[in-house]
Amino acid sequence: MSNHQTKEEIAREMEWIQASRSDPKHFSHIYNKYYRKIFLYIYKRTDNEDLTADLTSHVFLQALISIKKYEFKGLPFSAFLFRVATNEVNLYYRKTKSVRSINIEEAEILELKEELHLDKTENIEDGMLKALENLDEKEMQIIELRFFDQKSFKEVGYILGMTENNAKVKTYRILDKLREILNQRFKA
Amino acid sequence: MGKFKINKNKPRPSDDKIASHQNFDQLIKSYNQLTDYKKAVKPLYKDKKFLGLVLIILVVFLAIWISENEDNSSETSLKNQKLEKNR
Repeated sequence: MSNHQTKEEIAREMEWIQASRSDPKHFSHIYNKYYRKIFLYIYKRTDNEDLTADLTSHVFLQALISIKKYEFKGLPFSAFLFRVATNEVNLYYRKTKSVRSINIEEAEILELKEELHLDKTENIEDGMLKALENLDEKEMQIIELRFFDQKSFKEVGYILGMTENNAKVKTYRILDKLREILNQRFKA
Repeated sequence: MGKFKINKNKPRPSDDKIASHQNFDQLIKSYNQLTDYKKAVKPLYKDKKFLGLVLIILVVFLAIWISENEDNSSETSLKNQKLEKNR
């Protein structure tokens, strides 16, 4: 899920945003561009297609309502949508008190493994999944955004409402925690 | 049961399935319903007509209060003058 955008793309998005403020119908450009991305982002966190469709609609509705207050902070508009989507998913889990779903692909586990610089790496996958269960919700969200969604620290910070530096510090602390859990598991 | 339900390599919905949920017209409809409702239930303190009415009532009350005060003060000054004459 690459998020890199050229300056021209960002400028075009700003034009759409400006136009949407006076006429919401112009929001269709943003909607069509990001619907799939937001849908898959939520689906990875809910594992339920109908619920995902419902939450995705909420995200775009919320975004359209608050587009007048939107301020450009050096990130593409998608970061704002991912932030709203994260809040919607969190709100859903808070309300229903159900167990959080997380969809991970093998490549993402391997990426996380690379980042951990473990002493031993054979048959790591099952151990990694067990180790991830030791994280709390906030920690898991950081790992998901950074390693499974390939977001920059700036985006991770923006989406979760913290500074870029804080996102970086927290990420490295979580990696230390995971490394310790996995190394202990291997010793045992 | 753990804190998370972790699924590995689970297939995601196809692009066609995702597209079937996409409905911009419905989004605009929901947006209009919500904004119309917000306009309809505009709080009183944001209603210009209501604020104007409150202002007029205040001005009228103030005018009455000032005129009554003026009457009272002129009456008391007349009484005082009479009392001084009687002495």
